[in-house]
Amino acid sequence: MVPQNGKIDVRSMIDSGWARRLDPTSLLACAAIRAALAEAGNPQSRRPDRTGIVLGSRTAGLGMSIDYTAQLCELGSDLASPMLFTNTVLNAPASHASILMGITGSSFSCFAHETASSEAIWAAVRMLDFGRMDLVITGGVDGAHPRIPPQIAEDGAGIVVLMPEDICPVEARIFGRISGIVSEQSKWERLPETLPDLIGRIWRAYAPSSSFLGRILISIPEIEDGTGERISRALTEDPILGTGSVECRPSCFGRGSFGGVMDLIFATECLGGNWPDGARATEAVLVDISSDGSCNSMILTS
Amino acid sequence: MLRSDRRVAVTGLGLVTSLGQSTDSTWRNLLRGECGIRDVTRFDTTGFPSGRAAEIPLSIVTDLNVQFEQPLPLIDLLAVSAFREALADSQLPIDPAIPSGLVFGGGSGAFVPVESELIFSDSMPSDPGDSDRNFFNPASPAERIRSMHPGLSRHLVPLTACSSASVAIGFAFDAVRTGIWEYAFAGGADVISRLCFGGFNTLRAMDPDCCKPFDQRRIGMSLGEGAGVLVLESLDRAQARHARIHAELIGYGLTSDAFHMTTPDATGRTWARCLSTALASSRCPPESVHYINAHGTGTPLNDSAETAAIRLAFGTHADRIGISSTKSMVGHCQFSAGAVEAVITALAVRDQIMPPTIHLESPDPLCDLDYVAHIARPSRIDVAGSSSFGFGGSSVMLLFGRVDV
Repeated sequence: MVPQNGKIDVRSMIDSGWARRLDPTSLLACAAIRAALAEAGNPQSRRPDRTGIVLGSRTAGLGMSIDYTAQLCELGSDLASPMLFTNTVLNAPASHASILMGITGSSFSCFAHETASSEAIWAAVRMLDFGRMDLVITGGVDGAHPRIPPQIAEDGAGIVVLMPEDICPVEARIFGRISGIVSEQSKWERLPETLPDLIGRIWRAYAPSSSFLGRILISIPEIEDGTGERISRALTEDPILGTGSVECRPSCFGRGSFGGVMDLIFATECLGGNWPDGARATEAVLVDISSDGSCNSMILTS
Repeated sequence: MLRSDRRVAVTGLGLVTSLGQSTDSTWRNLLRGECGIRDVTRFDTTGFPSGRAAEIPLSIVTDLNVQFEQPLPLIDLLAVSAFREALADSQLPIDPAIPSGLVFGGGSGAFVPVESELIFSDSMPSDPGDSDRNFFNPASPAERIRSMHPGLSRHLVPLTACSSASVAIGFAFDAVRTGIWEYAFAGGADVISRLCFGGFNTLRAMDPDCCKPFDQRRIGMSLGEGAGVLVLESLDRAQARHARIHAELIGYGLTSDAFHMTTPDATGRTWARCLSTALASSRCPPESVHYINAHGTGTPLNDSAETAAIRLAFGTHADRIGISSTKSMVGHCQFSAGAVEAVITALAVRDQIMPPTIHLESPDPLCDLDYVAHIARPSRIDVAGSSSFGFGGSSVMLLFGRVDV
C-alpha cells in the first residue's frame, strides 16, 4: 500500500526512464504493485502469462482527461500532448504495470464509486475461480486533481497479491485467506435489512456450526440519513454476527475508492492478535459499501 | 466447486449504430456495404485534420428518445435502447430470484456530461453529495439499465479502452459457464466526444475521409459510436424454454500485450498469443474458424500487425478464413466496439454470411489475406472470431459457433 504521507519516494521505486512516461496515478499503482510483488517473492516471474491484474478505480485517467481537453482547447490537436491523451484511459495504471513488469495474462480495470477496490477484488477472485489466471494482482488506485472534488478522489493505491491456496508455493508467506466473498447491489436504504443475511450466508458457508467471534470492519460513506447507524446496529444485533465486534470507517477523505483494499491490508496485519485494541480475533468480515447500495463483503481468516 | 461444462448460448441481440437503430436495420445496411461515416455535426471540428466520423444521425436519436419522458444522455440512451432490444429479442423474463448480471464496458463518453464544467467553468465543480454520482460516471449506462430493470442481481463495469465491451462479454460468458449467473446481459455503449476525437487527431491516427482497412492507401481510423448488447444463458436453459438461439459463445481469450500503450507489436506475436489463447481455452480447432471480424482500424500499423497475427495463429488455414473490418462502415465505436462487432459476428454465424470490408481498392501487400472486399459473401461459417485490441494492450478474441455444429 502506498500511503500519501510523503514518506515513501514513489519515484525511487520505478526507474526514471519509465517513470517519466507515467501519469501520477499510474506511477502510484506501479510502485504499489512492485512493492507487493517483491514482498510475495515475485511469483509473476514464473508464469507471467497466467498472471493477471484487476484494478478498481473511480478517477484513474480523469485528471489526464481534464488536462488533455484543456490543452486541446487552448493549443489544438496538433500541439496537444499525445502522452496526456494516452493516459486518459481508466485502465492506464494496470496497463503500465503490465508493460513495466512483463505481465501478459488476463487483465482489466473496473469502475465503481466508493467500492472500486473491493469490486476489483471480487472480480479478481472470480477470475481465479473461472480458471483464467493462477495469480492475480488486485486492489485499487485513485488520483487526485485540483478540479476533482476531494471527497471523490484521493491519491493512493492499495495492492494485494492473490492466488489459490492449492497452487501456492510452499515457501510463500500467506498473510491471510479470503474464505468467502460476495457482492451485491441493493438499495442503500435497504442495506440494514439485507446485509446481515448476506454476510451470514457466506459465514455459514465457511463455518456452518461456529459463531462469529471476529471483527467486522465496515467502510461506509458518510451520509447523514441514519442508514450507517442502522447497518452497524443490525450487524451488532445479528444472532450469528453479533458475537463479534463492529467497527465503521468513513469511506471518503483519505481512503478514496480504495478503502476496501486498505481494510483488507489492515486486517491481514491484525489477524493473529495484533489488533490495535489488543483483541485476538483471527477472523474478520470486511464490508465495503457504496452510497448506491453496492456492497462487497469478504471473510478474511488467518 | 464451479461448473465448467455449461455451454453458453446467445439468445438476444441489441444494436444501435450509425447505420441503424436496431439489429436488423444495422445488419441489413452492413450487408449492403453502406457507409455510416459522415461529417461530424455535434461539435465544431474546425482545426482538426479529420472532421468525419460515424455519428448516429439525429433522426435516430430523436426516434429512440420517444420512449422516454425526458431525453436521456446519449450514451445512456444508446445503452438502454440496445438492452431493451436484446431483452425483447430473448423473451427472457428477468426474475430477481435468479442470479443474473449485467456486465457493461464503460465508455469514454462518460466525460462528455462533465466536460464543460471541468474545463470551462471558473469555479470548482459543484459540491458532491447528490451530484457526485454524476461526476464522471462510466457506470451511468449500466446503472440506468438496472434502475429500469431492477431484477438484475448486479452489474460490473470493466474498462480496457477499445476492448472494454469484449472483456465484459468474456466475463459474462465465464459467469454463465460456471453457474454463478443463470443468465447475463453483456455489452457496451460509447459516444463521440471531443476528448477522443481530439485525442486520436493528436495521435495522427485519423483518416480525413473514411478509413480504409487493409488498403495500402490507409492512413488512419474513423471514429464511430453505438451500443451492442448480447443476452447469454446456458444452452440447456435456452433450449428448454425454446428460445431463439443466434449462436453459441464457445469461448474467448484475454491477454495483455505488455508491449506499448498505443503501438502494436508489428510482428503480430502478442496478438497471435491472444488468438491462440482463445482457440486453446475454447478447445476449438483452428480449421473450424471460417470468419474473423477483425479489429481492422485502418491505421498503418494495426492492419499489418493483425494480418501477421492471424497468420501466426492459424498457419496455412489463415488463407481460407474470410476476414472483414466492419469499422469500414460503422467506424471505430471506441469502448463499445467489442460489443457492436460481437453482435455482428453472431449475426454472421446465424445467417452464414460475411459482411464486407468497404473502401478496399488497393490491397496492401503486407495485408494479403481474404478481406471480403466490397460485397457480403454467403459462406459456411462453423466458428467465427471477433477481435478487439485496446489501448494499454488488453487484447480479446471472442469465438462464436453455429449451434447445430
